[in-house]
Amino acid sequence: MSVFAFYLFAISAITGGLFTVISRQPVHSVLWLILAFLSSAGLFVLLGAEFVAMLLVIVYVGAVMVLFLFVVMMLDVDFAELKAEMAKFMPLALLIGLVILMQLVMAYGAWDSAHGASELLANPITTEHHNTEALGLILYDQYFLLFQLAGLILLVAMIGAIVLTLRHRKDVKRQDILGQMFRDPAEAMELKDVKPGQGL
Amino acid sequence: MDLTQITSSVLASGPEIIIILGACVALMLSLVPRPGQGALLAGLSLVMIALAAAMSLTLAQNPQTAYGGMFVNDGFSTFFKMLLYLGTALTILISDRYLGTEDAAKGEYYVLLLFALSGAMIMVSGKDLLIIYVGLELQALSIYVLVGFLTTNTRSNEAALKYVILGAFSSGLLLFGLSLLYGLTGTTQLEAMGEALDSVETSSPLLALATVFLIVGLLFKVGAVPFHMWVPDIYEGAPSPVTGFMSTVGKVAAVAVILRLLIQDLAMLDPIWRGSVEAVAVLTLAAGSFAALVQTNIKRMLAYSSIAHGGFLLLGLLAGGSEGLASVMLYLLIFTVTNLGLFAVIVLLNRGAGQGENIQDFSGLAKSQPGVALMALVFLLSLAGIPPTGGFFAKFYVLVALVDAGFVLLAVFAVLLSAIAAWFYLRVIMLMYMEQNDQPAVFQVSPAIGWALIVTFTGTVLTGVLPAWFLGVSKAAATAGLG
Repeated sequence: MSVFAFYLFAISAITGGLFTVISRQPVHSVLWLILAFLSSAGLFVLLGAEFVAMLLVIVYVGAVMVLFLFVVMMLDVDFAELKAEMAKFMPLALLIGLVILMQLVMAYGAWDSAHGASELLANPITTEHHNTEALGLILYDQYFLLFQLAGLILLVAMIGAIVLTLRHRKDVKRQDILGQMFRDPAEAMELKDVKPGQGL
Repeated sequence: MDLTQITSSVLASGPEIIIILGACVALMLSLVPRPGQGALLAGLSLVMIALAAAMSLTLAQNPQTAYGGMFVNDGFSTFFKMLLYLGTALTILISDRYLGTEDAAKGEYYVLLLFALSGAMIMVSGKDLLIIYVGLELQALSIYVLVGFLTTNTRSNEAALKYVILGAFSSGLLLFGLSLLYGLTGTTQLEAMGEALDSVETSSPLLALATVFLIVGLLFKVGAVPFHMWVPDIYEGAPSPVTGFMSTVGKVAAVAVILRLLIQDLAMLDPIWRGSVEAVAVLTLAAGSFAALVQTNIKRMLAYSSIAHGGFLLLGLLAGGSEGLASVMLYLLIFTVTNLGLFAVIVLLNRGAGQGENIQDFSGLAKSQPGVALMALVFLLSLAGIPPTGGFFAKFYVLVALVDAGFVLLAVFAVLLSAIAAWFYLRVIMLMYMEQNDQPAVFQVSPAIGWALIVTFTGTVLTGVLPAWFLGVSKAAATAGLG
């Protein structure tokens, strides 16, 4: 049964990935990518990592992909033209990619796994804790500092996005609430003593 | 970790927490726009930096590791943190006026500066590859935004975009090297990694590949030739105080990481990188010195000058040992005060919308503003390495360490190239004192910039008068780092 499920998810993940790359319509690409994510979430469930599977569905499919869909629909980008531009650099890119691949293959020939790595690979999950619990224990204990710092990086990214894009144009009339609240009646009004028949 | 460990870890990272709290408070305050907000936020940031500096000095009395060995407070990291505090404080002092003339005053500026500072502090205190990387990203991300802070200026936008792309690319290279090192040793903690690597042959191709990616990623960050292409464009396009910040604080943090990795904890990689770093150092010195000769924009000229100074830092790295380490640390101290002093003068000359950044704008400064011109003269002499300013001793001690380590040829080469480099600093001095200017620069020195000028001027002169004392301090910190 689980073997059948594995092949089902694996094949749909690969198909999703493939069609993401080759579809002509960017919106279709995004939809195929959602399929790929959902299938990989299925694979994670099979591995017993249900927390990661749920995260993948909620964060990637639920938030990131919807954002992608919006961006793709709102930006007027001609993807065919972009691909033609990229084709110019293809030979150079292939050459560099090949050189790096060769280096990696050579390096991999000398690969020596760390002591005890094969045992870890066979039993990736501890049995004494739930895997959500196990992740929490690591994140909030051993990697506490890293976890907090990652949060700070996200905060800076958020501030940066707002700072760089929010512009207060001076020629646009908009409500200035603070200005209104701090308005001083003594300065806001000016009393004029107008003589009859003269006007201002 | 139990409760006592957590408390002691939080205490050990107290300076970082103070700076981050300061950034969050400044972020809240920046939401309430009111006149004089810039001065308020700058003052708050300076107070927070002073508090953090005091706490760092207290913590330095008993060196300790925290967060399960990921984070360390030793003499080495304290010395570098002091440099970071100094550089950031000086940047804050010269920022308010610049933001005013460029009409870009926003409270988030100080928030991002403080976040960049905290990232840099975490980099110098990191004893774990992951911590170092996360600190690096925190610092880099804040600086990307600061570079593009002049949202209506296209050069600033261009610089920010270039910096993001190249920064992400170099971070990718670095991360790839780090992941290979992790694969080889099974740990990210530097001490355990050093022990594990002792048993690995240095001729192993995988170790060589990991080291190459590591070195290339780090050299990208300090802008060494041939990974320097981003430096001039970004230094020119960024707001002037941010350029000063990047060339001092950004460089100090990156060099601290290089020293911690290559000289201290992973010293066994030495035979793999030595040959290529020698070539890079020579190329960096040569390309930086020659390219600076033909520049017309002062920020672009200083960009190439900072590339050339990066070459000197690499020479100190090659000399190695506590001598080389101390000479690099002293060099960074002197470079920080001198360079930021010159940037204070550049901010004074700025007339808004990027006007006043040409080298020609310095002409006749001695007539119209004799005091500022005298200070600029001292800063330029120091950058050129002419006695009795601090810059001379910075170069001198690097060369001494180099000759002691037996690299006489490299030392001779460095002296020749710094003689060439002296020319473009002297050209600015000649403009200031010999040329006439029909429209002399008119400006008032604001109190904040006045303080920045006094601190940097005193620093440059003091390091020239008492170099031995400063060398002693950096030597003590260097030996603490080598442990």
